[in-house]
Amino acid sequence: MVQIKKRHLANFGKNVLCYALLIAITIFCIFPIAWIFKTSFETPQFIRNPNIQWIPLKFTLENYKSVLNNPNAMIGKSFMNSLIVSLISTVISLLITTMAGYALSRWNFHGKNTLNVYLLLVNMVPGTLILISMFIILNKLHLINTHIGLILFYISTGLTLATWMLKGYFDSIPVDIEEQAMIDGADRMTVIRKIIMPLAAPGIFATGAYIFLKNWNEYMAASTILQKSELRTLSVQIVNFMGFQRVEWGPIMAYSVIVMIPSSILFIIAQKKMVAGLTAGFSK
Amino acid sequence: MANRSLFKKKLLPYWLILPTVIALIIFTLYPLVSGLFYSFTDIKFIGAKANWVGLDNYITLIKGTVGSARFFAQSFWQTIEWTISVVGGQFILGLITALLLNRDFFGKSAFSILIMIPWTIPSVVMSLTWQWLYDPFYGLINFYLKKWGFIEKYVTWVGQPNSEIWPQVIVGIWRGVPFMTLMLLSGLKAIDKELYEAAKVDGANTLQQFIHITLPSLKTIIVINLMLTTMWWWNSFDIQKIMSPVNSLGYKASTLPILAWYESFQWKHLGKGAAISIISLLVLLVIMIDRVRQEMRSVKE
Repeated sequence: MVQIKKRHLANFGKNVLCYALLIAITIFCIFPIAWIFKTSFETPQFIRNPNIQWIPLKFTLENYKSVLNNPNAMIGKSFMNSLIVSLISTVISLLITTMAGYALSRWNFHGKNTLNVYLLLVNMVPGTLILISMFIILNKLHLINTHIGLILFYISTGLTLATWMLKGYFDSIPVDIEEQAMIDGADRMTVIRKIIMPLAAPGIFATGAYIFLKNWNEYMAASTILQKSELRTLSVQIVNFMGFQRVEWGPIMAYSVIVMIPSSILFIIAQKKMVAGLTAGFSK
Repeated sequence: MANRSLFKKKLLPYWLILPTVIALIIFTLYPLVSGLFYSFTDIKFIGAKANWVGLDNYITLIKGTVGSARFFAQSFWQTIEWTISVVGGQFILGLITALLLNRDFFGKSAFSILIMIPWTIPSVVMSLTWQWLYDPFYGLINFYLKKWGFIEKYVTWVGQPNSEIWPQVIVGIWRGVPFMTLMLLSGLKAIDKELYEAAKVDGANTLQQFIHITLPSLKTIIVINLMLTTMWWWNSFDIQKIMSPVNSLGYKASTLPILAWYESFQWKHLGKGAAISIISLLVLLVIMIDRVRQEMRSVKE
């Protein structure tokens, strides 16, 4: 009896410890987010309060209004810029690499492993190196300060990751399904269109989401290639806006909330598949 | 799989990879090779002439005493410190979190979603937010550290030319914990539960189970994970750039990607910036050499 009680007690202790640890980690993960929201609803005088309180003392939408009305924030314009650039570059990356991902998953062909090694190497190349030479090339083509220039850069960074992830997803579809269909008399194109693509659709979507978000959030190239304010994407615009605001944290945090909500939702929808694709692609 | 009769049609795979190969050549190989070329030239900025100077840029960086050369050695070591501490911190916290989430308990899915959040925030928003948290006058972190007695008066954590890199490391760890957790959790779920039952029968305690079952089973995923995150965080840019002083000439907390960017686009020495990037790439290659070898080996098979 005593033994059992002791064990129960030990188990109870263990559970409490686990919960405590988990709660501590969770607080570490979310307190900055809570602080973004809190600051965005707080009036300037209470943002500059030497005491910290977690509920806004005087709830206000002023920060949001000031961001939406501020000509320097250019939130609508920047949002459209981000959308155009990210969407076009993602679609092009996917169109090119879906076929390659399928081929890499299904066949052994001459040069396949060279391609694999190359994909790994390209993933290691510093963004600055690609940016430097792209910058020189884009200048020759008169594409600095254009969205096309930035799209070309994003295609460059998206290709390897997309190929990698897509191959992983196609690997997870058993080859027997295709074989059975072809034995039943379907030709390959029909099999790919009618069977493989629908099965791979979630994976292709997750890859697309990953590339899209990467481009949507990208900062280095966007801030270097696009100098004109009306061309800027959201991530550059918000940093620039901060320069205008002289550290008025209320509007900056309101801006942050507006910027992060759409991308966070997409992220949460696609995250499980994205992780699976990255793992599969890398472990081959 | 590939030897099965259906997939023997010789030409189709080549047609399928052709667009990707062409795109890779235009968009990655060409910039890579021309970047390497520019690192051997004295090109200043766009439109300027590029004269071949051989290894001059590299020699200046390593031996020089002016311009970016003054900060090169420091940035170099700082990049290593940065990568080890960020990836290491992410790994330890991620492993603990994954182990905790692998148990059955009340509220599990709520915790899982909350812990995921740092990964979903745009990196720019994240960097700005942490800058606000580190604010030297009204920052949350200063407030609590002082309240709990860790510091006597408010500290300016980031944004100064002499700021340390550690506050930024915390941000990097914060950012990466969710990804690590997700990856390791997927590995933990794949472990056969019967192994643990058998170990319990044999009288192994939790720690022994962890060392003899969990760790060996996770080995592959841990290696993949560390490789992938090392690559990413070695080249990370946004946190260090946004939390640094504006337009400052070399500062204490910079790493190689930051130095390369400033050298190229602020001080307008594209050639030297390319040289910094190439050195950075070579060091990363050395770190990753095992993985590259493994890929090479499968070429021969």
